[in-house]
Amino acid sequence: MELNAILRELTAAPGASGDEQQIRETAKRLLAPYGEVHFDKLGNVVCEVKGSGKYHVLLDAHMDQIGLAVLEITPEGFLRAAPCGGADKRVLAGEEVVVYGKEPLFGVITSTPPHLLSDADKGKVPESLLVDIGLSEEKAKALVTPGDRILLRHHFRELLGSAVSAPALDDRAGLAVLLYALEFLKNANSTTDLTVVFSTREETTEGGAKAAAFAAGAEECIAVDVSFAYTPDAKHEDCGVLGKGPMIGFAPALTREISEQLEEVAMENQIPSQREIMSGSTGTNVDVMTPQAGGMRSGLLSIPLRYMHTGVEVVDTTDVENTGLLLAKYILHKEEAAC
Amino acid sequence: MLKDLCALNATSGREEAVRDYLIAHLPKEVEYFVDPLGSLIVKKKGKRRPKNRVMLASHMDEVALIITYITDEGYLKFAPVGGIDSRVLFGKRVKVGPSALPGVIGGKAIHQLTKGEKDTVPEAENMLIDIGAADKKDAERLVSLGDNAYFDSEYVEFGDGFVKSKALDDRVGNLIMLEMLKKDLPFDMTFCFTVQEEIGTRGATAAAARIAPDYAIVIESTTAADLPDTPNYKQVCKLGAGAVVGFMDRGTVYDRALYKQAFELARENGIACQTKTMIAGGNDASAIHKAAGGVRTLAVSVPCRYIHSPACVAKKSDIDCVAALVERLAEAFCDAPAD
Repeated sequence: MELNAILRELTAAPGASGDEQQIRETAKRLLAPYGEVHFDKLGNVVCEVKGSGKYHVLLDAHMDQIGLAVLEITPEGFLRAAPCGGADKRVLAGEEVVVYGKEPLFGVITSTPPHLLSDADKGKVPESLLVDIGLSEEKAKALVTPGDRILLRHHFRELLGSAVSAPALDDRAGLAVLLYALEFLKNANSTTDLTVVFSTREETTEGGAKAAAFAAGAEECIAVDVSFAYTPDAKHEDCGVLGKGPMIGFAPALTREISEQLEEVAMENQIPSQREIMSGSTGTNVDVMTPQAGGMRSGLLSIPLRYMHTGVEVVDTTDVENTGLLLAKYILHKEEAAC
Repeated sequence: MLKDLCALNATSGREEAVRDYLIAHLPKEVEYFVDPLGSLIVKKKGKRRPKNRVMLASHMDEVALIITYITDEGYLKFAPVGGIDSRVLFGKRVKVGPSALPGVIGGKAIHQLTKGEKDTVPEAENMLIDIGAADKKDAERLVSLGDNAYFDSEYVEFGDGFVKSKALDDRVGNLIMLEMLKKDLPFDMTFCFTVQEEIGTRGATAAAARIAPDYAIVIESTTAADLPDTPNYKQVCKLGAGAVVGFMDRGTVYDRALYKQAFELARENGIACQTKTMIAGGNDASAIHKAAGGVRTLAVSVPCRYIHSPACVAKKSDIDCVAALVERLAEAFCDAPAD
């Protein structure tokens, strides 16, 4: 599997939280070789992979991304916007965006020229969020409606080594992990029943995964998301390290046995891994999935990522590959153990 | 052609790429000379000898970053070359060094920020460029101290005749002069493409002393703040309202008679022209008008939103207005009764 190409394709497909129509078509096409694919009521893409009927695992990664939503069109023809999900407002001034109106429109998030800033304003994140689309109010209103989503314009850059940068790697890198694992399991003639969910609305309400987990009713669920990779301004204890392999979640809200098994499988297969320690729930879809349908055993794998919720998120593709490999090996390990 | 000019990376002291491009595109019949600082001085014969020597000037350099240090972890520290608001740097893509390595500027995730940190963009001196290097040694293979980093932002046309790019300041001026050089001129004129404007109009100081003109016209881009929520008097100038001719900025008090003449010529020729509503900005005029015993000087500018950011925005109709007005003014100055 050519991971750079798949990450480029997955990050290029637009899908702000609650507006995942385009990414879900890409997702459906990429999942089709592995099982029966359908969309559920909340727009989740669900792929059922038939196995021997003995053990049923739910795998989740979310396909929605951080964005903005249009609030109003100003008399000057600019768009006033608000975050849709936890956008990092520090990075927005001077960003290029695409407005998903009746047609995709290029825009620039305004920045205030220094001559208009008082000393107290310097370095402050601007309160209002305005998008310049170069249109009059009349023309803007013909193409844009409040509620339309705005995304940072897609760019995909290959950095040194195996690092890549793009918006929406949170959590399209997770989708790539699941696709990698599905391909590996298919080639290994896996017998586990899988429900693979590419879920909606994680960045806003975690609603997609909650509904999908109820419907799946599996024995076990594993979510694949991204987590914090160390940067020099962060604390080591709060972060994993880019390029050091999947972060295996250890948290009160996760099944300890699964966390430990994941780690054992990583060691047996010489897959690099690192522990991610959390003191309660995990801040990922696994929190809402675990109690569904009478409850499921749960695990969490995370891909270390720098600059989360910005247009320049960075992952190392070897981490994506190793996370996919670990997930597949873990499932195969359970099959062997059950024999 | 504006697209090509904006794509070139040329900051103060490193203007070679733009100068080489201009030289390659000069018409055959002109004489040119590169002065010791690097400014390109082009003399073009017109139909007649002028009564006054007229110099046109635009600067080739753009604001950018210069690499000052490589950390043990392989991140690059930098300082801005020219005035850049730190808020338009954070979360952005750059291209580093002679091989234009992709890099990104970022920091720890929004989830890990304190409340105060969420509202404040880090100072440029505390930011780092991430090129994906494994460590200092890895980075040093490809980056040297003193290399420059440029905004990774290409030319895009959008909305009703708007353009977005890095470096519109002052490649629009370069373009207008290059187009004028290709035409038959009524009088002999001197065209000066200056260096080091952004760090204190240094190239223009040297070039104006050498050329010793009677009149000078500086062709620039100037800050426009025609944004929602901004009072009219603070907007400085507006996109779509034509060429900007100011009476005063932070570097120059312009020749009163020439200022009036510009508006008269604009009116007579149906060229949209506006003044500045704030004493803001500065340009090569500040050096030229004081040079060589004094030069009667005017600046004619393209209004530009988000100037000195990766996403400068200008309107094509304004560029046409500046070109038309500069041609009329140059002709009038050449033919004015000698003092």
